[in-house]
Amino acid sequence: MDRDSESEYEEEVEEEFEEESGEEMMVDPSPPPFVVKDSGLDNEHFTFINVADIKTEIDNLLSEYEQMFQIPSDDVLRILLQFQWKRDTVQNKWFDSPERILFESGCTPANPSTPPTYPYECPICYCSYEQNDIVLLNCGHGFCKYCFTAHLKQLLKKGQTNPQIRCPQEQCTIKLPSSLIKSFNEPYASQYNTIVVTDYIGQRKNLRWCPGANCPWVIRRDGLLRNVACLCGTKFCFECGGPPHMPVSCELRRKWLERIQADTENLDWITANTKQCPKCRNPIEKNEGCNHMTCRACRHEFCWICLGDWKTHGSSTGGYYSCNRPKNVDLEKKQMSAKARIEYFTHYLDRYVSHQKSHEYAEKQKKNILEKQENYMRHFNCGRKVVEFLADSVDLLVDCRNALMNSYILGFYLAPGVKKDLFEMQQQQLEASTERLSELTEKKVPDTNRQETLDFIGITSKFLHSMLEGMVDSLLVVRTDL
Amino acid sequence: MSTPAIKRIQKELARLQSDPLEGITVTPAEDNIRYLTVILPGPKGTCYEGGKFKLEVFCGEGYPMQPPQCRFLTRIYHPNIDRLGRICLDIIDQNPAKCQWTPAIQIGSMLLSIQSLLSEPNVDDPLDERVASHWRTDRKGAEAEARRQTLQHAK
Ligand SMILES: [Zn+2]
Ligand SMILES: [Zn+2]
Ligand SMILES: [Zn+2]
Ligand SMILES: [Zn+2]
Repeated sequence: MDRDSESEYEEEVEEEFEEESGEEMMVDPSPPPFVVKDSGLDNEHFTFINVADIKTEIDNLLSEYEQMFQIPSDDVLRILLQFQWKRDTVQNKWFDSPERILFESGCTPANPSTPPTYPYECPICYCSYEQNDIVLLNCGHGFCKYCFTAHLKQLLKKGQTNPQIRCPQEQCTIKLPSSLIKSFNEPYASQYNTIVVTDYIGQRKNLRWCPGANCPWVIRRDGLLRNVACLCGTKFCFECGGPPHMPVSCELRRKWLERIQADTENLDWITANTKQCPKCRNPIEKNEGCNHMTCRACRHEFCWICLGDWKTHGSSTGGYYSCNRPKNVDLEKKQMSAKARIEYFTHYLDRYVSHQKSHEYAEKQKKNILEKQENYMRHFNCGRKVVEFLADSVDLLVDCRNALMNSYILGFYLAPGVKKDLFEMQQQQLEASTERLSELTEKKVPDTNRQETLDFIGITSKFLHSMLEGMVDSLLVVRTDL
Repeated sequence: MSTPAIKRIQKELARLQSDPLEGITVTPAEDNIRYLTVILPGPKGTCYEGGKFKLEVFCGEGYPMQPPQCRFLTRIYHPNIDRLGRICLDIIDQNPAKCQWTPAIQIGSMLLSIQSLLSEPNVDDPLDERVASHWRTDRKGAEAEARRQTLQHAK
């Protein structure tokens, strides 16, 4: 994370406060927030709200200001829209000058209006009408109701997303009051409501529509975590709407993806599916997710990523050997040499790609999990409850592979220091535990060890949480010599 | 067929007759009142001064709920007008999401907006990037080129 996103974080913290102070507008969604089975992501940091509740939230906000300022709800809405729903700005501006904020929000005209005389000529169709066929705005501009409706219809049909709709008269600064728009037949009222609600959600930093197709949920973020698992099953990043990618920030991830796109040569070499056993040189093909390899010829056990001895890996040895840290590179140096830079990049790319492939493999396992559960029930003659651990383990595995993959982006950019040391320790713990979990999930049904798998689900999920949460609110320093 | 749109165009034209805009002429096609030919003088004190620019204006089915389509028929060197004569101006933008048109805008005031676009090119929202960058890097040179082309094409 670089300097820019640091200040962004500070801003967000302030936002939170702002919203805290306006507690009364945050209606407790009913039914109460759902609790979703913990899939390794943290849904306790998010609340799922339906649109009707957002609507109530907005209505409460409107009536609050209606009372505070003693102005009609139409004016409150126009003011809130003009100032992006920012309570502080609205209140300060109101106390500075009610006249000015009403003018700036398009509630009152620049010049006092002269009442029209009837019959009145509609400036759109140039026909004359009596009073009851004219829609008259407080700027003095009137339009026949046929033209006015046709105009509104045209705006909504072409996908108007801005809820501030101007008086049709050229140069006029008045914005249409929502009660007027809603006084026309359906579907205008409900369409306009949707536009307002969407604007409200778009302006709130802590609210977001789920990007899942046709998903009705709005998600409120209550903390700093970004990985959301929606009730509809969609997993996404709260900030960029893309796939979840904690612990790395949206910006660093984007930078990384651009970088590796430009480096296909390196990718070709890394994505090879065959390597030689480091001991006997026998070629070994990898077609599963786990990186703990055993050579068929000499039974040597090694790590697919670094080709080091597996005995030196993992939590069982206390992690004295860290496969996740680049060797042969003087990391403390302020400016790496060209050769070191390549080695450094390759180290992270290598691990990123490995976990990416394992992630794909885990997704495949997840797809086939029902079949495996059936087999398990038949083989051990047990009930459905007993086999839940199989699905839980692959769900968690998918999340862990994804987190590990993205953790190597963060590792690449992180500058050396205490923070990075801590991060790499957590990463290494998660990695070792994930490899073991991965191995357990890849076992054939008769060899599956339920108790050990359950144990590793517990441990691994703890490691996953501490790595993701450990990196969330800290100010990270980024290398500048990459 | 006398639709409300036709009626409005007729009235607009009648008003432009009785209360004409300085130097601007608007002539409907004989067989189609929706199709107008416009002669627009280049604004005084600009590199288009002295030029008479011909435009076509077509008030389509959607008019006046949707803006008319306008195009320069005379070649003009301007960052917001391309070689085909298409104009980049918010009130007549053909992209509905960006269009600032409202049905109360009249053909006359639309033409005045186009005229003032000639006085004030908007290099931040260019249609012809090559012309716009000429304008940004060498304003004097760009204006000289515009003057030259005005003399050549718009006399
Ligand atoms: Zn009308
Ligand atoms: Zn008005
Ligand atoms: Zn969803
Ligand atoms: Zn993101």
